[in-house]
This record gives sequence, structure tokens and C-alpha cells, in this order.
Amino acid sequence: MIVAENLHKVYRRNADQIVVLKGISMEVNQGEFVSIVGASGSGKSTFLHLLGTLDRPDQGAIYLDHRRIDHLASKERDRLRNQTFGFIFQFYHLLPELTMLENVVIPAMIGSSIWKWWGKRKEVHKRAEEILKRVGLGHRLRHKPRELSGGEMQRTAIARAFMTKPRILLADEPTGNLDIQAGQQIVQLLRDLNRSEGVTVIMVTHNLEIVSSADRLVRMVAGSICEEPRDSQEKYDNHSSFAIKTHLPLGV
Amino acid sequence: MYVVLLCLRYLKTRFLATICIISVMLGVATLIVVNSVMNGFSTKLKDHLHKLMSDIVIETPNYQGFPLDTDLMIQLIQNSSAGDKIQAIAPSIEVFAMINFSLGDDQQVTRAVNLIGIDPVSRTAAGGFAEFLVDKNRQTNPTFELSPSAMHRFLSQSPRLPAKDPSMTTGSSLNLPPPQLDPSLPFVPTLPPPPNPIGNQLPKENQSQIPNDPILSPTLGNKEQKNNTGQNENQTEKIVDQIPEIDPVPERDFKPTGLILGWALGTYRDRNPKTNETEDRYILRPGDRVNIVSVGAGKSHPEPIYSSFVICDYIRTDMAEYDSHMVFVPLDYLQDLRGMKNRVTHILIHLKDYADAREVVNELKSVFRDPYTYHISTWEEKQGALIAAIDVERGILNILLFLIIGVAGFSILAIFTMIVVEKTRDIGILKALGASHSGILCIFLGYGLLLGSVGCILGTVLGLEITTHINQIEHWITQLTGKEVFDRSIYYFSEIPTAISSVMVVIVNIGAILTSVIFSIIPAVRAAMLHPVRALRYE
Ligand SMILES: Nc1ncnc2c1ncn2[C@@H]1O[C@H](COP(=O)(O)OP(=O)(O)OP(=O)(O)O)[C@@H](O)[C@H]1O
Ligand SMILES: [Mg+2]
Repeated sequence: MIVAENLHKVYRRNADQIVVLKGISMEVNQGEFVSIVGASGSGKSTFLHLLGTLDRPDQGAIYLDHRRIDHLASKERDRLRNQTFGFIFQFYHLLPELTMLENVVIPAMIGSSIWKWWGKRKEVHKRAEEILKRVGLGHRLRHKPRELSGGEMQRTAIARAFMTKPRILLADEPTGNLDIQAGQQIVQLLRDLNRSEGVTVIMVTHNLEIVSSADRLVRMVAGSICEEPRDSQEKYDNHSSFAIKTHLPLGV
Repeated sequence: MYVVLLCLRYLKTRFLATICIISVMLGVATLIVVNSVMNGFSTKLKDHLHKLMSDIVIETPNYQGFPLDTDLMIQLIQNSSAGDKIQAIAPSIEVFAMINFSLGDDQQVTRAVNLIGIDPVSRTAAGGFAEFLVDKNRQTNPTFELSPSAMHRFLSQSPRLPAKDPSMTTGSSLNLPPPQLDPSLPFVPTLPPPPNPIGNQLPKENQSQIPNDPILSPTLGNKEQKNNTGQNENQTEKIVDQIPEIDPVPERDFKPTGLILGWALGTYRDRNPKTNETEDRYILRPGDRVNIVSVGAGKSHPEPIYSSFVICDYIRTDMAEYDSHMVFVPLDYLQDLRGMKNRVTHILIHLKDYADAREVVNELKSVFRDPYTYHISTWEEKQGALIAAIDVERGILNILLFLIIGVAGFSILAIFTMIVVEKTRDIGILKALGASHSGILCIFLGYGLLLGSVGCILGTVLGLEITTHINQIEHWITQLTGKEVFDRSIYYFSEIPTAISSVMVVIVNIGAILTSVIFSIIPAVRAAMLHPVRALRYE
């Protein structure tokens, strides 16, 4: 469904050139749950930004349903980010002035004009409340982000990313700032959304313990991809099975 | 929609926003207050000028007056095509003169004045005369007659009034401060009581009382005083001292002719040491005698004329220039005095509708064709320089004041730049969630608009509030600091005049809102141009 073809990304500062991505190609199918791992600075975040049309590659192309999206005008890209992609960041990135409910509603607001918004705002609010309930925060609707814990904020961020029913969730180290238990919860939540709603999840992580929940594991080394064979994934599974079993009581 | 939500949220939660609002508010309030006060000053000034000059003035540079008889001129004016647009006509004589009076001790005072001969009734009909008179009764019934109390005062102190030649009396009355001139003092018991409230009957009575009348026969009067003040030897001595110095020639032809004195000529401003407030102290009171020296309308050359008048009232326009120079006397008396019977130098015309002024001036110019002999102008043309000066001053002040808004604008610019920096990550998030360039731009422009509007509303309220209470505030500050803000001994208005113009308020508001939007453009564009990835990575 989403295909990256020979992506290159170079950052230039004066004469210096920092080559971040050196020809990445990857295909992700609808409903897949892909984990990207790799050393720090290997270009995972950059890759995710390119996929999510937040940035443009210097070379190569990205296709969504065979339609090239990296060349689109910024208006189209804005629409794609709003409707098709959902972003989840390591530091939650909630808007501190808004309540949880408003934070979740924002993407829907961005996606509709004032007049359209007026017509559907009740319906949207209801959906936002439902999603927040689903991530277990039904009782914190009117709270501001700073009144919540990291795990709760990240769950709100997931709710926000999921608000406009995107087809692809792009998560950049969603568990990076959380303890193991909260991290497991988050991954379970993503997995659950992936299974029940059929949403594609592309997740960057450092945490090998949570990689096991992925359908596929992609390893990035210095701007290139070495797709792990299935058996090596098994290895990861074995390696982390203990942790998962002990810390995963939420059979969603 | 998120634009509105975020604008409102940023407004509520940002401390910086409060600073912005305050700076706009102060700018707007200052502009409104200063404009209202300036406007008040100039409106009041123009209003008074207009009233004092009526609508249209016909004047002549000829010191002998118009070549035509006044009645004929009035007839010509009324019969001209402009006649039915005219409400009232007031002929008058204006001539420079010198006023002279003594201050009770050895001081003799002279002042240059503008001597104006009028018929009080027609002058009142032409507008802007009676309403400025200090005596309330005279406002409805303008006359030059002395009030009973003024008459009493006049009769009681006449013997000690300066004689025709001031030099002869200098040094004589030095020991007689004004209180001793009080009619109730014992050395004047034989004076007739105020003979009749109606002043114009006075001359007759005076004639019948010649032997006793101190004015008409000072020598007799003094003798009488000598006799009658035996009980009070000391005072008598003093009076006797000065008697020989008094002009021995009795002013037999002197009849008390009323004179209306400019307020500032008859009073002076002083600060009461107890209350620290300025108050007017009288130099001359109704009933006091003053001498006028002017120039007659002799056929071949101007010759000096001289006469004495008795103050019957003050005119108080609250314009220092006028109050310190205007002296009104009866027109017919002045005509006689100057030897220009039936002639005047000025004709004031009051129109039914001032909008017709230009037209009427043109029509009158076709009646009185000689432009040198007949200057015909509207009051605005006549005061053109002054009015233009006021307007220029106001214009310049406004430009300067808009710089205040400019300063507020730059503080908006600075604060907005800070807010954008502070919000960099949020901008990245919004972009990641699909917000467009224009959306981000709108957030910050809208924010500027909102801050500007809130600042304007508060500033307008504050400005109007200050303007309406400016006199209390001034009073309060004066009390608090002990230093007078609006020094009433310098300014002639006793209150700070204000006039709030709604057009001005609207213009100030629009200007301030525009400024805040314009100054938020640069930060807003910078925000919109932020690269989403860089914004997201910003810590
Ligand atoms: N604006 C930039 N200018 C220059 N170099 C950059 C810029 N942004 C990123 N880089 C470089 O690109 C490389 C990849 O960055 P990226 O954030 O994608 O790594 P990452 O794999 O996500 O690392 P981490 O796991 O620590 O998040 C890094 O070496 C970084 O220094
Ligand atoms: Mg990263």
C-alpha cells in the first residue's frame, strides 16, 4: 500500500553534507504492524517524516496506493497528514493550552472549515470522547496535559492520531519516555487498533522487548535498511518473551 | 475553526498577551484623552470666538467709521437679497483705548484695551454677548445700568476716586486701602441710600442733590465728611490729609455711564495659601470708576478723547485674550464721545443658518462694493490664522501620538516574535496534524487582531472614563503630588474642557487594530514558514 523507493536524504550545512538516508526502499501493506529498529542517528525519524510527508526526500519516491505523494503540493500534503496519516511522537506533543478533549478534537477541526465544523461538532465531540474512553481516559476529558502522567499523555496522543480514522499510524519511539509497563500498554493499544480497525502501524523503537508484537521487523543501519529474516525475529521473540509474559496482563 | 480556538486559548493563558493588551490599551486611552482635551479646547475656543464675532462681520479700517449712516446700512443689508437669511444685526464701534484706574493706594494702573461700543440688546440678539456677563440678571436683560449695590458702592467712594489728571492724586490716597471704601463704614453715613434700583434715573437725582452729592461736588462732599466723621478722629485725619490733593475741578458733567469690563481686567488670579487653590481676587468691583482714553473721530486728524465710566458688570468669556482686553460701553455714548453720530465701525450679522454664510458674504459684497472700506468676512475667515494654528497643532500632535501606537505596535512585534519562538513545537505539531500555512498564519494574525481589539475596547473604556473624569483626576493628582497639573492661574479655563468625538474614537480604534494586525504580520509569516520537521525537533 505504501511504498518507499530508493529514498535519499541529505542535510547540508554550508560545505558539510550529512547523508542521512542512503537509498531506502520498503513496502508496507495495509494492516501491517511494522517495527523499525536501529542505532541512534541511523535515520529512523527522518525516514518516518518522509513517509508522513512532513519532509521531502532529495531523491527517490513514495507511493501511496500507487499514487506518488512526495511531490504533491503542500495543500495536498496537509490533507494527507490530516486524513491519512496519524503521528505519535516520543514526547507526546500535546498542545498545553488545550484540554485532553480539545487536543483529541483538533485534527478534526483542522480538517473542516468553520461552517462544516459547526454542523458536525457534536458528532465529533462524541467520537473524541469515545476514543478517549477506549484508551482509558474517559474521566480526564477536561484536564490539561500537564495534569496527566506520561502514559496518559501518550494514550491521548494516540487518541488524537486516531481521531480522523487514518489509514497509517506513524509512531516515533512512542514508548521512549515511559517505563516498561506503560510502554507495554501503549504498544498493546497500537496493536489493538491495528487488529480491530485494520490500521497500518509503522513504529520506530529502541525497545527490543516490545518489538515482538510487530508483524515485521526492519533494522536500519546508518541510513540503509537490512530487513531481518523471519527467524531472526523469532530470536527477538524468544529474547523478550519473559518480559512480555510477565508484563502483559492486558489480553486485549 | 482551530484558529479561533487556539487564538482564544493563547489569549487566556499567555502572560505576554496581557502585556500586549496593556500597551495597546494605554496607547488608545492616551490618544482618546489627548484628542478629547485638544478637541475640547479648540471647540470651546472656536465656539467662544464664533459667538463673540457673530457669523459675519462688516468692518472698516476708517477710524471715523463707515461712510454711510448706520440706519442706512442696516436697511441696505436687510433689503439685499440676503436679507431674509439674516437673524439679527448689531452695529458696534471698536476702537483701541487705554483704561486707567487707581488701586486704592498710590498705584495708578493703565492698560491697553479694545473699547467696544454696543447696543446691548441688539448685540445680544447677534449672539454671544449677554451669556458671558457675570451678573445673572443681566444675562436675560442686558443693560449698562448699575445694579443698586454697584450704585451704592459708586456713591460711597466717589470722593476718593482718581481725578482727571492722575498725576495730581498720586500719593494722596495711599493710606486708604479698599476696605475703608466700604459703604458701611461710618464716615459716609450721610450719603443717600441707593437712590433707586433703576440706574437711569440717577442723573436726575444727582442733579437734585448737587450740594450733597460727593461726585458732583467733591469739595462739598469732603467738607461734609469732615463734619460727619468727628466721632472718628483718626480716620478723619487721614481723609483730611488727602482732600487738598483731590482735583479741585468738580466733574460736573460726569454722569455714571455703565461699562462692562473684561473679567481679567477687573480681577487677578491668586493662590489661596490655605486651600492651595487658585481664586480670582477683585481689583475692580461694579461701582468702581475707571477712566478711558481713546481717539475721537475728528474730521482731519484723530484727537484724544477722554471719559469716565462706572463698572456695571464683567464679561467673562474664559479666553484670556478677550477677557483681558475687552471693554464694552454704550454705543450711543461712544458715538457722542467720538463725534461720529450715526456711524459705526463694525456691523455684526447673525444668520438664521450659518451654512449660508459664504453666500451671504458674497451678496453683501455686491451691495457694499468698495472692498477697502467694507471688509466683509465670516468669523472663520477673520480668525483664520488662529483656527488654522489650532488645527495644525492638533494634526502634529496626532501624528506624534500615533507614534505611541507605533511603540505599542513594536511591543506587539517583539512579544509576538517571542510567542512564535515559544510555540515553535506546537506549530510543528499542528503542521503534522495537517494544519496549512495559511491556517498557522491566520492563528497569529487573528491573535494580533484579538489582542488589538481587546486592547482597544479596554483602552476606549479607559480613555472615555479618564476624559469624563479628567477634572476630578486632575484635582486628585494635584492633591496627591502638591503640584498643579492644570495651573488655573495660567490657563484661563476654570475646568479642563473636553469634547469626545465619536469619529475620533472610531478612527483611533481602527488605527490601533490595524497597527496590531500589521505588526503581527511578520511573526505570523515566520510561524507559517517554519519547517514542520525543524519545528518538531525544536526543544
Ligand atoms: N536538520 C538537520 N541538519 C543536519 N543533520 C540532521 C538534521 N536533522 C537530523 N540530522 C541528522 O540526521 C541523522 C539522523 O537523524 P534521525 O533523527 O533520523 O535519527 P534517529 O534514527 O531517529 O535517531 P534517534 O534514535 O536518536 O531518534 C542524525 O545523525 C542527525 O544528526
Ligand atoms: Mg528519532
